[in-house]
Amino acid sequence: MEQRAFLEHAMERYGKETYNFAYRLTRNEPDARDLTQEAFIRVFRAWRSFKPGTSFLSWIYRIVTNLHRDELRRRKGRYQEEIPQADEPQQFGSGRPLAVQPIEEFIDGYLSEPVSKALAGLTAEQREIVLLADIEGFSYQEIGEIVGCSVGTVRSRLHRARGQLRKLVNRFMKSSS
Amino acid sequence: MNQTHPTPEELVEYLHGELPASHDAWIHSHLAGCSSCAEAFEAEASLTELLRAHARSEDRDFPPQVAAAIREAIERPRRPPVWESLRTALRPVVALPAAAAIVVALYLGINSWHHTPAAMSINAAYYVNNHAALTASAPFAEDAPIPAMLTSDDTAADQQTVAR
Repeated sequence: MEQRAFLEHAMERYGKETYNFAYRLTRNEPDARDLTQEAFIRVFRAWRSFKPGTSFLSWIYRIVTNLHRDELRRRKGRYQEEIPQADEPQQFGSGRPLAVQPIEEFIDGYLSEPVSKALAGLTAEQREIVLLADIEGFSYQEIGEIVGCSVGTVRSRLHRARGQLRKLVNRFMKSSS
Repeated sequence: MNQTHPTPEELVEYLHGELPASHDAWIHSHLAGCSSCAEAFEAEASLTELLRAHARSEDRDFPPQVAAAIREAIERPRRPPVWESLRTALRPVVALPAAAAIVVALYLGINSWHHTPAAMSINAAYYVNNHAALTASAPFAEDAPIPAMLTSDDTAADQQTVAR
């Protein structure tokens, strides 16, 4: 069945990227799994509306972004993470004492944890834009199509989001040193 | 280009490759000779690099249970959406008899609602009595027939008229 083959190919080729994008948006695995599952079910049902020659990732990211917004509205932002206070004790990496952590793991944890917390401190809208521009590498035009706004809005949201992100990363880096 | 230094927004757009070629080239050459702008650009670039490193560090594989749940969900017959049920209900084979039944029901309903009682029939005796009353030589005499229209008892009047 052509429709089924389309889905299988899409999952095989783009499943990982879609799941990671969903995870970065939601910041937790159960929500990322639900979001990815629902997005691929929608792809399956609407497979005929996909235009060959256009970006499948843009299409499915648009679905994921819309589903995530709907979910946030439904839950009224309930599951968004709290921004930790700068003077809160931070525990990076796997939580083991630093002395027994391999150095790579320590570096990963050292860099990753403040960034993770800083990303969690952005609004869902800001996080979408930063992820799409800086991690996924979409053009502003593509981001506008994914999130449903103009290039000018992408530009201004991205600038604000990066400013906020830099502030939060610096705060969490300082508190960890 | 009249600008002396690129704005922070322009540096981010330069970083993301979003500027027109001429503007991009201008910033490129400007950064080579301006240490403060080069430093600001490095700060922007390092933020992006930090984000990418973070993304790589938490990269996950597509969970097989998600793929299984998707396959299961698409094989499960789904409840048709409301508009689809409505469309099914409106197929001619269903809709025409239903519409006919509704029309008949409405007709009967309206008819019984607005039912006007049948016009009162006037029986022949009335005309006979009336005629007798009008043609009586002394309508107010003791033995004159009582016009049926003035009595409440039609039957009695009928009998009286017939007897005369």
